[in-house]
Amino acid sequence: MAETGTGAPLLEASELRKVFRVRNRAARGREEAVAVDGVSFRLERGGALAVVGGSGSGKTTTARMVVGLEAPTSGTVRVEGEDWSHRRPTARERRRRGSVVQMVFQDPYSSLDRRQSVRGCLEEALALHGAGRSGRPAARRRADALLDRVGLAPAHGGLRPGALSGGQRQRVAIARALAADPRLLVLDEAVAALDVSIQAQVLNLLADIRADTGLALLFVTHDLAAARHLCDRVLVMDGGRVAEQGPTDDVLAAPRAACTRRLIESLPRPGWTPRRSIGRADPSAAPSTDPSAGGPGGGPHVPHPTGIPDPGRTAP
Amino acid sequence: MSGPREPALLRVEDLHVEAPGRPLVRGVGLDVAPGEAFGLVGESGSGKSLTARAVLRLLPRALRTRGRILFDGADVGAFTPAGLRRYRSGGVGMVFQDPRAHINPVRSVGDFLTEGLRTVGGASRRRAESEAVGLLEEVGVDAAPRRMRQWPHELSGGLLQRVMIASVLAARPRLILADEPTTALDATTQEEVMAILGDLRRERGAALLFITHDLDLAAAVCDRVGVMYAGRVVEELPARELERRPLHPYTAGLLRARPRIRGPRGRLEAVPGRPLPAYEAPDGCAFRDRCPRAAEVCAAAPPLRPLGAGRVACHFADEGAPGTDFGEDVGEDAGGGAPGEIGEEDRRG
Repeated sequence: MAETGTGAPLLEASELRKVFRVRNRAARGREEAVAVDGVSFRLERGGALAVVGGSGSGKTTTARMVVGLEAPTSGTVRVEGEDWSHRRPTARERRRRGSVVQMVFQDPYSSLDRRQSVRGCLEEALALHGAGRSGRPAARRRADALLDRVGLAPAHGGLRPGALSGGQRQRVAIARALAADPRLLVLDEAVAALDVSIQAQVLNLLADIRADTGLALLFVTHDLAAARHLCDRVLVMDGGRVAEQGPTDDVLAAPRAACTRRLIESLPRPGWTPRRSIGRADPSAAPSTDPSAGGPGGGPHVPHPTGIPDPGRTAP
Repeated sequence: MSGPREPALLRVEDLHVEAPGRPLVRGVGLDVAPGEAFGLVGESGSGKSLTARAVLRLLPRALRTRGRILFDGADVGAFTPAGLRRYRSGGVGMVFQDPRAHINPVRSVGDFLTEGLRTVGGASRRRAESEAVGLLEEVGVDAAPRRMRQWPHELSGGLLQRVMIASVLAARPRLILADEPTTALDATTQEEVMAILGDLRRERGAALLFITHDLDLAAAVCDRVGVMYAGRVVEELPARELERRPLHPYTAGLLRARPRIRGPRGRLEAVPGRPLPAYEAPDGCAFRDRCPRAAEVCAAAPPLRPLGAGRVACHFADEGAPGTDFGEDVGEDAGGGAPGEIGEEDRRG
């Protein structure tokens, strides 16, 4: 499988579009919310691409389409040249895809089984990807190697997630993803909830793993500074569309899109005076008639897709 | 803490909070002057949120507390139930990180906002409603009359946080206590919410106790900043000093660990180890296991002593000690004409 489509980029997204149907009381019924609209990008083997944007910009939905957690309404996701988006995968295909692409979520509390020991969790993931049954000495050695890779001690293997700190838990989530020996790691706000001193450790860890193994990273974040430290290229999203993309240093040094400039200006720094972009609501202004307009809360409020969508109805 | 100061609006004296057998907060003291913005910064387990909850007397019963909280000279610990209600409904307003967890999901925004105005303020329904609409407009919510009829789940996080702030304003508090009010929001919305808090604070002369993990944010919007580690305040400085010349190695480490959008790229200078809660921290200086300067003397707990314009709890700190000048990071694009403004707000001059 590794040889299929040599020459094709590791990941290629073309014209991705995702429309959620949401209930809207004010509109008396269902309406469509366009979460992602015409997003295209490529990620080469071993590359690191940051997808940056504010809340509701469509960055998470884009990541979820890449790993197959959402089916695009239209457009394609190709991984190593193979179209992943137009057919429901069989169980066997899903497993094979899992050995190519893995994902780490923001909150390791909810993405780890809190009744399972760390070693049990890693051995299960290893077994799933053909590394032998859990409990065997070989599996145990490999699980300990994974713990070591993410900077945890073998003693951590016996603990459950509840006994670990947030940073340690996120290391376990990364170790579990690495158990599949993937070529692409999709990280959805994976360091956002970590303490500052721990966030730096995890960013360094991810950079090291990438340098050592050639693992490619798709780093979804609202944090431009973290994106800069981890990724050579950045794609800025706004309102479901690509506002701009290019080498990270170029985009930060000379942002072309207004939303990128806005993201940079909104970072607190010495001498910073926070500004109100909208100012006070002017009572004399005509009230908004668009029921979906979220008003001044960070752009139009695209309802968060989790829980709301009905993928069966929007899948092609 | 140098120079003459107005009497404190809020004074926390030697506050200890303890779970059975587990110290959580160990002797926190701080003053917030009327109209002042004080930032309390720390990582998980530092005790910053417990300190905030102790100020409100909102700690769970299972936690034992010692020390005194004085609000406008009155001992909060000695308040009668009626006095405590008055204190919480009119003296201090609270803004929490997750407005969704603190706003009743089965009542409309209008109900939420008018409840206090009617029960505490004794306003008629009509007057309470028009006042609530005015407050929503003041915090930048458009189409306020329509928002009054909406439900919390229909609003975005940024919008709901404004509703929360509007409800705090309704009580006309003298102290706003904000615990990570923007942590769940994106950077643009964060700027918006901080600007609103800043405007309202200046216009109404309210003081702000701002709890956050974000040193940059605290330094940017506060007059003074206290840094907490393992249940203690380890450093307190005017915000501008803290950004440029932190006194404590922990603060310096935090500042170096942040990813930046300018300057050198590549590996971050992480602080080794992890932040420890007070009950796991070593005796003596709680930071010594992670500290690059630790020596034998650190086995004795360093007192929080005055130094320069602030206070620090480190045996080695002298002015400009950690030898890191972060001042160069003030980019040339640091906001048109902004640098003078913070100085003008520094009412202690």
